[in-house]
Amino acid sequence: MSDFTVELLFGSNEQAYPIKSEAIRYLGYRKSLPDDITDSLIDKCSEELCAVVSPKCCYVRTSVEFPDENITSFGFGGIKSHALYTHLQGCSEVILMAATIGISADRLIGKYGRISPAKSVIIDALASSAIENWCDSAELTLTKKDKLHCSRFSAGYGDFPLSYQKDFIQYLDTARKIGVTLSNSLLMTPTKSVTAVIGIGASSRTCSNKCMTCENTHCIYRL
Amino acid sequence: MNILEKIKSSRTYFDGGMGTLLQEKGLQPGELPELWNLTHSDIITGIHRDYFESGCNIVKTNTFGANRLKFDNLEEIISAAIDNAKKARDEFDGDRYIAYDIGSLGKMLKPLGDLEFEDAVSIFADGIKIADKCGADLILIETMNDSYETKAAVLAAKENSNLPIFVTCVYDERAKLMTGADPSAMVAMLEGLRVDALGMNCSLGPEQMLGIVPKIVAEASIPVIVNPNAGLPKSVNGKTVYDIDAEIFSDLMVKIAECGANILGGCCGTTPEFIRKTIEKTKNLPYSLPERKNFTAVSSYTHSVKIGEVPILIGERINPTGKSKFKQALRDNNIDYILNEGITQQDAGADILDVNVGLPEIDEAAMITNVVQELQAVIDLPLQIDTVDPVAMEKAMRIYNGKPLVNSVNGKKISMDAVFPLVKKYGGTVIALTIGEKGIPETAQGRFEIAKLIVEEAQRYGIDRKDIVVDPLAMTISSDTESANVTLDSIRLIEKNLGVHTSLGVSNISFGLPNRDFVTSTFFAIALQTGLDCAIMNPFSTEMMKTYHCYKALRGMDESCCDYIEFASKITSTNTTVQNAVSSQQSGSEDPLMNAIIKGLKEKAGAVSAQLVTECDPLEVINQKIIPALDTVGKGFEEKTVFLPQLLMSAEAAKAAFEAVRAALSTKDQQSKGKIILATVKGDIHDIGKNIVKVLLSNYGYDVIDLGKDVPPEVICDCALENNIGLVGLSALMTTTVPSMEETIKLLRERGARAKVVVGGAVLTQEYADMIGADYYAKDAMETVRYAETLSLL
Repeated sequence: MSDFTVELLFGSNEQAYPIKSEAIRYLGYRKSLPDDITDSLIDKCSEELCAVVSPKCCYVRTSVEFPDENITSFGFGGIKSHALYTHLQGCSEVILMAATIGISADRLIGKYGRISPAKSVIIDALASSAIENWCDSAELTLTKKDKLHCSRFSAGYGDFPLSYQKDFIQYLDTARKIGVTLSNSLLMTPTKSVTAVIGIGASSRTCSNKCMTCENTHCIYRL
Repeated sequence: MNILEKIKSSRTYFDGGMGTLLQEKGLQPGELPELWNLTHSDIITGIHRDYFESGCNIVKTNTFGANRLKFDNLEEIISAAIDNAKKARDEFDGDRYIAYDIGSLGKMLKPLGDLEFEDAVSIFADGIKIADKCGADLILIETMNDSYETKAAVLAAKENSNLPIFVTCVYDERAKLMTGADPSAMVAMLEGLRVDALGMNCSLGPEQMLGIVPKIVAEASIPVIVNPNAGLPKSVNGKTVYDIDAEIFSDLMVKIAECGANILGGCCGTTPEFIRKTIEKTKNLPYSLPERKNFTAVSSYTHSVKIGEVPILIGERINPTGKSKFKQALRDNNIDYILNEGITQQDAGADILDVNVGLPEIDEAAMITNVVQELQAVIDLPLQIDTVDPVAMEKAMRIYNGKPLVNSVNGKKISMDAVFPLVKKYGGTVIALTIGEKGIPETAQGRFEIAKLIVEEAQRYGIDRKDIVVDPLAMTISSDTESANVTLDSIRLIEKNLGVHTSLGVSNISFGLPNRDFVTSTFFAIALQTGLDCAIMNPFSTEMMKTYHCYKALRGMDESCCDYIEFASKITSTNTTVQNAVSSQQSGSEDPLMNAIIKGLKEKAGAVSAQLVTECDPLEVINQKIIPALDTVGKGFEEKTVFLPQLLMSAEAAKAAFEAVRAALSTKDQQSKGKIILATVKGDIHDIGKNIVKVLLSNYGYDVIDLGKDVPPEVICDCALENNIGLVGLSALMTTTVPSMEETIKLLRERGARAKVVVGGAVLTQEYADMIGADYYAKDAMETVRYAETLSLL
C-alpha cells in the first residue's frame, strides 16, 4: 500500500448544493427564464439531488517551478503548456486538488435517463452546478490564509493536455482518498468530479469571472 | 497453529503502515512502492522485521498496487515481496503469518466506470495464483471502497486458492463505502461469500472508527478486523502528519477491542511503535468471538433487508407470465421497459424486486445477466433472482452486486444438487418451495416434511437454516376450498418446528375468481397474522398495499403510524390531482391534449388521449393533435423560445399520449418510419445526449435500436448490417473518444453498410464531423430528427 500524505476535506451537503440560476444557464436558457412547470420540476429535481450529494476533496500543497519557457513543474515532471505557464506566473506554490460530489449523482442521472430524459437533463445540469459550488467552497477553505491566489485551472483548459489527468489522479491517490477513478479514455468517475491546480504567490491574480479568461469565445454557455 | 485456529483462540494483531515508513527511507511521491521489493529488499525485510519485533502476528506484503494494470513483471514483484516477508519471519518464533496484500485497482467497474467485472476478477486472480504458489498464509483484500470490486476480488481468491480470506473496507464518517454500501450490506455479502474475517481499514483514525465498529460487530458472525490510520492527516509547517501519536492511538484501540473487534492493527501513518503499544494495552483484555447472528439478510450495493422483522414486500412485476407487453419488451430487448417496471415498484414501496425474464425464444442466461446489471445500475433494492435454469441462475448470482435472494430450490434432489453449490459459492438466501419428488403434498404435515428435508440437505453444504426461506405454496381456493387453510397451517408448522422464515406468492390464492385483489389482500392479512414474513406480490395493487400498511400500523410495527399516514395521504392526493386536472382542462381555451403536450404534463396527456380515442379516430388524434403539438414545441426549440427541459417534458407527455393512442391503433397504422441505431461510442460512458435524441426520434415515429454506451465499433456495424439500417447516430462527449467514432464510421464504410451516419456530442463541430467522415453533424436533438426526416429509411 502507498500512503502519500494527501490531505482530505469533507464538505457538508449544503456546500455542494446546486445553484439554480447556474443550472438554468447550463440548460441553455440565456436571458429567458423557465416557465412555472419547468421551474417547479427543477426545484423537485434539486431536492432529490441535494439528498444524495456527498462532497469530498483531497489536495496537496506543493512548490511550483518553471524550468523552461512554457514548462511548469509540480512534482510529476514538466508539463508543456503555454496557458498553464502563463496562468501560474509569479506563483511560488500551488494546491493540487481533486473534488467530487460522489457517485450517487451519477446513479440518479442514470436512473432518470431511462425513465424521464427531462429530469435526467435537469439533474445533470444541477449536479454540474453542485460540483462547481463545492469546488468554490473547497477552494475558499484551502486558500483562506493566502491573500493572493489564482482561480482554478484544470487539465483540458487551453493547451494544458487532458492526458495530465492521469498524473493528477495518481499523485493525489484519488481512487483511495475520495473514490475518483479514471477510465481508459480519461473520463472521471464519478462524472461530477474536478481536478485542478490553484496557484499561490505574491504576484498572482485572482479572477472572479471564469468565463472571461477562457479561450473558447464561441461557447454557448459563455456569460 | 494455522491462522484460522489462531483467530478463534486469541486476539490477533496485524502490522501497521508501510508507505509512511518507505517515504522516510526515501521513496519519492509518484514512485511505485512495489518496485522496492526488488530494488530495496533489505529495507522492506527490515520493516517487516520491525513489525514482528513489535509483537504483531501478521505482516502485509508490500503488494498493495501489484496488478497487471501497473506492472508487467508481476511474478517477479510478488514472489520477491513474499520472500522479503519470509526472511523477516524466519527470525521469529510463535504464531507469525504472511498476508498477501491486495488493494483496490483504482478503476471503477461497469456500468459506472469502464472496467468489466470479469476483467477485475481476472486481474485479481493473476496475483493470487502467484501468492498461493509462493507460500502466503492468507489473503488480505484491503482498502476496498466499492462492494462490487470487493466481490470480484473475493471470487478471484476463492477460485484460485484455498487460503483464508480476510477483507477490510474503507468507510467514511457516515459509515458508508464510496459507492454507498453500509456495514450491514458488506457483512451480508461477505459472509455470504464465506470469507473468514472482515472489517475496516484506512481513511479514518481510531476515534472516528469507534462509531462504526459497533455497527459491524452488530451484524457480523465472524471475526472483525480494525486497522485504522494514525488519525486524520493535517498539514504542519508544510509537512503532512497524522494527528495522533502511539499513546492516544493505543488507548483508543483498547476501546475498539472492547467494542468487540478481534483482529487489530494499523494503516497509514502507523508505525511499529503504534502496534507495540496497542498489543501491550489490549493483550490481556477478555477475548470473545462475535455472537452468531440469527437474522436472515439479503443485500444490495447500499443496504441490507432483514427478513423476519417487519413484513417484506417482493415486487413481482418483472416477470413475463401473463403479460404480453412484457414478453414483447423481452423479445425487442427493450431494457428501458423492464427498468421502468423496477423503478415504479420501488416507488410503490417494494423492498426487494423479483427478476424473472425467462421466455422460451430468448437466451435467458444472457438476458438475466444484462437485466440484473442494468437494474443494479439504477435501483438500490436487493434483487430476487428468479429462474429455473441453473446456468442463468449462476450467471446472475455471479454478477449480482450484493447477496441475492434466490428463487428457488425445491425438495427434489436434482434441484438441490443444482442450487445449493451456487448458494455456497456466491452467497444468497434461497426460497425453498415445498415440492417433493412426488409433487406438492396436500397436507401441511407433508409440506413441513419437505421443508425439513431441504433445510437438512442445505446444512450438508454448510448453508445455515437462516439462509433458507420456505415457500409452502399458495394454491387457488377456486379449485379446492381447503387450500388456503393448508397453506396457513404449513406456515404455522414450519415457523414453529423448523425455525425458518416463510414467503408466499400470495396472488395465486385467488386464481380464477372475480375481483381477485379482494381475496388476495384478505388472505395476505390472515397469512401475515399467521406468521408470514415475505410476500411476492404486486405493489401497484391498492388493496394489497392497504392491507400491508394497516397490518403494520395495527401490530405496532409503524412508529406513530407514520408510514400509514403517508400512504393514506398519497391516496387522497391522487384524487385531488385528478380533480385539478379536470377543472383546468375545462377552463383551458386551447385544445386540451395539445395544451398538455406543449406544457409537458405527462399524466394529463395520457389521460386525455385515452379519453379521446374512445370518441374519435386514433390516427386523427395523432395527426391533428399530437404531431402538431410536438412540432410547435420543436419549432420553439429551434427558434430558442423553448428550452431543452421543456422540449423533453413535452416529448415525455407526447410519449404518454402515443402509448394511450397506440393501443387503439390497427397494426397497419402502427408502422414505423424505419429503424435507426443510436450508440455512445466505445470508451465513452456519457449517454444523456443520446437518450435525448432517442426520445425525440421515437416520438417522431422511428424505431430506435439503442445499443447503449461504450459500444465497440464491431457491435454497431454488425447491428447495422443485420437490420439493413439506413441511419446510425453516434454520440461522443470527449475529444479522447472521437477517435472511436472515426473508427466506427470507417468500419461501417469498409464493411459496406448502407447507413448514413449522423454524429453529435459536446466536443463535436462541423469540422470534426467532416474530418472523421460523418454524413451529417447535428448540433442538437431536433436537428437529428430533421435530418432523419430527409432520408427514406424504410
